[in-house]
Amino acid sequence: MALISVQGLTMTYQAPVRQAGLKAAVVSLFHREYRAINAVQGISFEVDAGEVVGFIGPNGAGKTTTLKMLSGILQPTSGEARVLGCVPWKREPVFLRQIAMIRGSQPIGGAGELTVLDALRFQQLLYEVSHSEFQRNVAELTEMLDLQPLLERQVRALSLGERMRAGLALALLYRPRVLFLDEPTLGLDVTAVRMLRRFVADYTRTTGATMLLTSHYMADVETLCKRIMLIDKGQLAYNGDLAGLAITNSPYKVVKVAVADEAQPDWSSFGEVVEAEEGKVALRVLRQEVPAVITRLLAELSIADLSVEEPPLESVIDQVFREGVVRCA
Amino acid sequence: MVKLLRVFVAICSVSVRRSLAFRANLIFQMLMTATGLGAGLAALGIVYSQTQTLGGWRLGDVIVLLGTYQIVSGVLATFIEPNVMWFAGQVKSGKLDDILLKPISSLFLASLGSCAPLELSQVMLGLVVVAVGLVTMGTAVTLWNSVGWLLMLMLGIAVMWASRVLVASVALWAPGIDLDVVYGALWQFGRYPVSIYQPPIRFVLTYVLPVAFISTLPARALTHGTSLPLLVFGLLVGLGAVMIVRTVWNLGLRRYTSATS
Amino acid sequence: MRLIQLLAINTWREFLQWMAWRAFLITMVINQAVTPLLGLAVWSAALPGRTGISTYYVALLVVQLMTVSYEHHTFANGIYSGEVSHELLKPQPVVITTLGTNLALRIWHLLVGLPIIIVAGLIAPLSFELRLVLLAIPAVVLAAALRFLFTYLLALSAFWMQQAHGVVGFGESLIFLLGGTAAPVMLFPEQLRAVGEALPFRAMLGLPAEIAAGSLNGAQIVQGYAWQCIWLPVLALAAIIGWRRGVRRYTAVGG
Repeated sequence: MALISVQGLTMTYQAPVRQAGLKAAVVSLFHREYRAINAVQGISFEVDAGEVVGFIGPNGAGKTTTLKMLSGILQPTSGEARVLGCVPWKREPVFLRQIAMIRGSQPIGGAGELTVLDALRFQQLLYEVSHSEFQRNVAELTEMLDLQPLLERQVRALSLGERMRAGLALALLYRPRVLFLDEPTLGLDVTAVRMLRRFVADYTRTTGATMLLTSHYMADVETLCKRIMLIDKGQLAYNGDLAGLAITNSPYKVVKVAVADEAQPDWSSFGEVVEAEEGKVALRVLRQEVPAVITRLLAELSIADLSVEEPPLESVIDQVFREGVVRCA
Repeated sequence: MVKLLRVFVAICSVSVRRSLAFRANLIFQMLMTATGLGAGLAALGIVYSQTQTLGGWRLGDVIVLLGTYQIVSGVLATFIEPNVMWFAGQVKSGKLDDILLKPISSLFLASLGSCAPLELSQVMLGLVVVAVGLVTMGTAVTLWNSVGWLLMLMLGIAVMWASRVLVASVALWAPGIDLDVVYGALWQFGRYPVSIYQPPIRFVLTYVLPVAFISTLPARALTHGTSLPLLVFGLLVGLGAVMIVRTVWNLGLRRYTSATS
Repeated sequence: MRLIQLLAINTWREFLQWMAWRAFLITMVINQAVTPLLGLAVWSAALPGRTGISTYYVALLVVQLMTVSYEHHTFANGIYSGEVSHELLKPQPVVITTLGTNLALRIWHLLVGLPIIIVAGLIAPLSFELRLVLLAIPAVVLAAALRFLFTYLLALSAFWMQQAHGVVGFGESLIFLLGGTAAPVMLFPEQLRAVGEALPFRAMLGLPAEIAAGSLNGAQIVQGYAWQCIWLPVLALAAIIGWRRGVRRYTAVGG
């Protein structure tokens, strides 16, 4: 039995259409035009307990809308979903106590004047965390997230990175079994991003929590998720493991070459130049032509170094969205 | 219910600790309230220099009413306004989403989730004004009248909470509309007994915008006593108001959760 | 000449900008209309059958809408947010922008408030005399100038403290009490009346309404105008000095 199962989830809403200008403003007072927006169209998937799944897709693809439906904030127009055996949008307390949603743009809600410790205590009360469990979890989270210096500070005075740490602590205090992370690394600096990734990976591994994550940064997905779901224009474009996406979708490989002498060959006769600097290039070459190209390179030039690599995930995904095709393995 | 109470106590204790840091604001706050009340009392003084009764109320009665009005206003400012102020903006900024994720009544958390203890000074000054009114009346207050006043005051607070939340929940349907200022403006009608208004307006202020319940009825109970039927009626009105708010809030949430993305 | 042009442009631009906030404008107008309407209700109940008093309050409603000042929101908030530094760079007096917003809002208040004025006029018994209404128009203009200067002066406190809203709120309480909203100054008790007439608050609000409602005789009208003409340079001077000090402090502290 899957922990999360989704069947034909669809979200359509009406957005008012408003033209610019004075006349349009007056007209809109009396007559409003609406346009139906299909944010999510008939998505189905399942996630098993303990899985970490990455949601990727361009802006407005429906990632956040899907997360909001699964966490009970939004009610779908049609379709079904079960998370932990509950219908999310009924928002039963027993369901809400077992999930957490963390948004990168706003890791902490609520009053900004509270200190982090006050906020944790309040969270304890809301989520009915027992005293001993509270002590144990706070100690552990303080250790893992380096919270000690933050506990007595007001939430509003924290930097974004500190807010994210505090937000994680608040969300994980009650040991949710399902975590929804919406763009968790948005706006964080490199150290904070690294810390976050390591922490989330540790957390899911040690607690066996199930996690759904959306991100713009492929590196987040690459390091955290074994499985990804690609959403485009409200539809599921790919659902499977990471390696599968790269192999099935990129007919290309990247050949990196460094020449030993001053030669300035016509690289474009070997393949498409992706990167070039003094004496070094990266060429995009069709998968099946790679052997032939390497043979020619070795024959015609004096080569100092040569390697063949899979194209970075980012460019694969970019290609998927541009060409709108997904080849399934 | 017990959990709601515990959470409410926690909210208040945290807020008190938090606002102790702003003691200078307390003095300023009290000064502002006192100025407003002083202006109100002076205005009444001028009115009563020209007449003996206003809509059947003598000076002392009206001062009691002004104090009662101030008490309910203070409760509004302390416990409710900090939560529902500019509610449309909160809805837009996603604060409501946070509330929906919490395993507790969203209506409770959205309307009573934080408080501004400094505003309680308004309630205290209101009590002082009520005392001034009683002295002006020059008659002793019976126990029964005080109990009636307290009960009616609770009713007034319930009605006030209900009406304020109703006004805020308009934002769930129309996120562009903030009626805070209008509510604050219409609230002012509670400063005077509803009997001074012309009959159609009086009807509106009693049954549509229940301003009468926040000051006229409690003040009447203190100055002239109340009756059992009136108390029962008040109780029914209070319960009705709470039921209406719950229904409207749930409808609004259904609309919000299915109409945004 | 150039200043007037700039002012006209600013006013027109602000007028159009507020078009987008029309729903909010309605709520602002209702808020402004409440105190005169309350005064109308209270005094109609206190002195039933006196047409003069209801005429006065309807006139007061009009004056109130034509003299609204929100410098604590528009100007003081600009100081808090630091937007004022941006204004200081423009090759025009900073007050022009503030004044433009002020005028645009007053025009909007009058337009949006017309239905309220008409309804109030239909419900309450009125008796206006054209000659007196015309006589009140210059007083409205002076009152509008005075009220702007007064609110602007109080809003300048934003340079020194975080409580400009409270300070302006205090000023508004004074206008409410002594300006003729709580009670027409003419109905003040004997000793207080002379004080009420001399203070600038009646000159900002009540005076034009009193003239239009016919509560004053010739000598009293002249005296009212005299007080307006005395207060105008006083407040203007105070506002100029306050502004200079404020800017000096602002630039010294670095906002």
